[in-house]
Amino acid sequence: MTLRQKLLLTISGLVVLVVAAVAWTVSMRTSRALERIEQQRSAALLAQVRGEFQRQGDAISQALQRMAASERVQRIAFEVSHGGEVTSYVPEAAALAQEYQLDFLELVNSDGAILSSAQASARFGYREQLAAANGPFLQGVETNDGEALGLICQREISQGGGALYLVGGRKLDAEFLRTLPLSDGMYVWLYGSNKLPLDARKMLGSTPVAFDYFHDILSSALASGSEVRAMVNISPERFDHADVEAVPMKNQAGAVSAVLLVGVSRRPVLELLQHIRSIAYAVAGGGILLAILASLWVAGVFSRPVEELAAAAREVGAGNWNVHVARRGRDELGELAEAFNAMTRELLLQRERLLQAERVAAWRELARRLAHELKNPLFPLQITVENLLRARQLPEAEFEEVFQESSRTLLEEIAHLKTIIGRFSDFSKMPQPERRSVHVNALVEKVAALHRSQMQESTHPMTLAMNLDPSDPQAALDPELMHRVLSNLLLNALDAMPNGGRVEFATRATAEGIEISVSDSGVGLTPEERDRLFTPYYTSKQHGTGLGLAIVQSVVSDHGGSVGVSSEPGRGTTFTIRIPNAAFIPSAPTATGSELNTTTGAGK
Amino acid sequence: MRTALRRLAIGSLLLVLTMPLGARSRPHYGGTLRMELSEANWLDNDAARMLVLDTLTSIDASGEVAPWLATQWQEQNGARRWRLTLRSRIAWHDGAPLTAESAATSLRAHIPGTELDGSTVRAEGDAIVIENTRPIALLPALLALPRFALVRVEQGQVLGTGAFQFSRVETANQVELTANEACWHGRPYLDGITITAGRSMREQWMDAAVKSTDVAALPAELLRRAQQERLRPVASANDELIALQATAAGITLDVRLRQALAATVDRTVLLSFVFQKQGEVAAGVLPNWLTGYAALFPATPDAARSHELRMQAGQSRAVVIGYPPEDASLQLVAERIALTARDSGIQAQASATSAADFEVRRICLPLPEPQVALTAFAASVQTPIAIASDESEELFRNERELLMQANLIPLLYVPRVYAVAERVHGASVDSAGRLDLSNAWIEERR
Repeated sequence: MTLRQKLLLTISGLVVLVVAAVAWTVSMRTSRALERIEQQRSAALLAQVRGEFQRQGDAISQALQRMAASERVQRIAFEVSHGGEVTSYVPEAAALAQEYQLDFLELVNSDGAILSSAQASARFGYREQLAAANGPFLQGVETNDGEALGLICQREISQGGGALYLVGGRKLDAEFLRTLPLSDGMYVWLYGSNKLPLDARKMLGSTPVAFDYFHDILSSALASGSEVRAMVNISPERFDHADVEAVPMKNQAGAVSAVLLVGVSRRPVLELLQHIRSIAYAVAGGGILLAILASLWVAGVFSRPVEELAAAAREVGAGNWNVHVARRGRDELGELAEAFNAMTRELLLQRERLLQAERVAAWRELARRLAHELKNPLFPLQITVENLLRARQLPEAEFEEVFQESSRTLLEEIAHLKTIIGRFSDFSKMPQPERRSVHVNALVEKVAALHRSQMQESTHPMTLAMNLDPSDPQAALDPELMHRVLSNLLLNALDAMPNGGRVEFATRATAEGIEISVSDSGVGLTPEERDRLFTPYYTSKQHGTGLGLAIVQSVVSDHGGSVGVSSEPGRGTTFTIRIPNAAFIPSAPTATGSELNTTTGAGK
Repeated sequence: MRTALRRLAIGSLLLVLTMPLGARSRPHYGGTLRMELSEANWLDNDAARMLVLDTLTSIDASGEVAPWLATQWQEQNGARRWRLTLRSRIAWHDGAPLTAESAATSLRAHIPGTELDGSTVRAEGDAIVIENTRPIALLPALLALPRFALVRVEQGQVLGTGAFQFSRVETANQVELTANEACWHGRPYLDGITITAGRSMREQWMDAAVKSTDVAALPAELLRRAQQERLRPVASANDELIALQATAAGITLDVRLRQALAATVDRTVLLSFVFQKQGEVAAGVLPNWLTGYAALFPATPDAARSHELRMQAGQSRAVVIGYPPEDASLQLVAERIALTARDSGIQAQASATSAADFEVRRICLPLPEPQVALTAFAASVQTPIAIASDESEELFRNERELLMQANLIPLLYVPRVYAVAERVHGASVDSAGRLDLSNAWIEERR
């Protein structure tokens, strides 16, 4: 990961964290504020519903009061109190309830016996538990159609020694709940039972809902007998939640007889929150984008000098020391750039000095070699010429014989001198490789075949082993130059085994390219020899020019490859040529033999 | 003297003034009576039917079988063959003479499905011969039932020999009868009767209260109230049985569950509260005043036995007790029975649906002959019986078997009550419990 990326990630991460923290804080505070508002709305609705219940209760109480004052009821009360026939009033309650617009009405005597019931006409004669207070209170009422929940009031009419009780009320059903003045987003439900398990049929509401949503809150309210507040889904829709308060409603005996559920829709709040969140996300997204751009710029500002320094260092590492880094600012990075530039200037100076020194050393070595090479033939020339001058004193015939002998020697030595000069000339004129697709195994075989007879004629036994890659790899090579390279390495190997031995050619295709190695079992190299092995004109041999391995390195290098050597004194030497993939061509069926006609492969 | 003259003058004046009153209180001809019925078809109402039609025999005031269209009858072959001689010079409403052939034709049309099922009827001179393979000892009494009244239907018109004849159809449920001037037992006082059928008891009560009808059938529990409302109620004996009868679905219920339900019924409460003590508790088909042995049938609720039977039977579904939707009294009875059953642990509900296990129904018993009443009752609940003798033991045995076979739980006997307007006189209930308007007359308006 680059410095720029690290800087970018660090700055962006910090910005994201800050934005997220701010967004969370805003969201939380907004939610809490809205929740407080909701609670206030819910409490107001609950108070409103309770007020409505009270108002309905007052209306029932007034209706009973008017009923009690009527002549008809007064007459019944009188008859009942004075031992009249109690069985005569069965239809009365229904008629009175209709007249006074009550859903429930029972006429009960002082013994608690029902004389007439509007809602359960067949309950005449049954005993009714009279309430201690006049109400209003909630009470389960048995009707002809089953049990219902009613808002009930009671009124006593005393006549003489007896009394008649009017127990009347209104049915709490969905219709009743619909009459409650509810604004949008407010709901009221009534669960008209205190029995478990819960029964969906007992649920009445201003808005139809799936009963399962209320199971938990109802169970909690019935179990605890106290108010429970919870968030309840009122439909499968995403925002249809309501903040519901379950209020257990108790009858005159103090037992829970129903649960009133007052809900305030959270839809507006959730939509507002969603709106706020959308804006927050958009702002945060924009902020993060801007932060990334800013961090890109900042990272660029800080990392560009470092990157330039790194690039310059890589240039220096690659050998290009003539690199200059622009100084940006007067800070530490500027000073670093200045120091780098000073370093490269110093390196350049030192390299120039080194080159000059090497050049001088090379010239000295060349002069030494030339002197050495030229001195050897010159000495016989000098001796021959001196012999020839002395031979002038000899008789003609003898002079002639010496002359002929000396002339032949002179010509041979001159030819020897020309050969030496030619070799130096060839090295100086080493051509650039002309690459073609070459079957590497075939190239090696060809070199081996050329020298196999020489090895067989040697007075000492020599063997040549071939360990070639069976995949017959191909590579983009100059076959002539590589032939010369391999010949040089083979000749070197043979020279290293004056007493005979074993030479092995090996080829191997690798992931990086092709490897060709030449190993001998000769005397090996000392570390010092190994270090100077590829130095031009250096040789450890008596008659070598020191150009063979220099040519090898030059050719291999021109192919983009490298030459490695591993050797220990007395344990032989192995030269390994590695040609990278740029010059390597996978095996193809068309390339056969040593005649390499194909031109496909790596570039020339 | 002056005092005597003054008294004479005053007495004369009072006599003159009271003469119209006396005339108004004496029977006289004229006027049209308005009558309302619960039945959808006026001919299904026995009282209305008997205004137009006559039976071969009748029941007199002492409860004995008396001649009517038949002047005499002979029993032959051990009551398997009966020969009834027709009264002569009697004509149908269209003027055609009532012959033995026309009477036999009418009778034959009524026999299938009745107590006389299987009988052959043929004319033999001026007599009708009725034969059956089984003895029909009660034949003369049975022939006094309205269902065996002689009737002809010609071109959609109902023809009989009764005091009134069918005149026209006023509306879909209203018909008009006119007095039969040539009635063999004398022209009735009324010129006509307008009958409105299909009126519920509540509607009839309201119409009677506002005097838009002269005769209306009332629930028995309103008898006292009718008196308070200055209507003149006319009540029969307790000849209407209110009973809980198992339907086809109810018969499939475990018999112990049915018995458990019967043991929960508190008849006294029903009589007191629903029917305002108008009637009597019933545990058998026939009332005690008719048989004297009704106390042998248990009539009091037995909670312990009910619980025991219910526990033995188990219950997989609620018992549905049905009632006629137009009859508020029976609805209250059904609801009360369901309520007390629930209190005893039996799942029960009252409903006006036809898919009920039990139905609360009214069954009118033809009085006063107990054998005839039981036989007629058995026919009405589709469980015909044959009573071999007029012994009480035989009657009791038949009644007990009938109760078991008919899956019947008798509840109460109540009277049939009719509200008669103040201006109508002469309306009465005959010995068979039917409203008799044959001698009714309408007071003149002042």
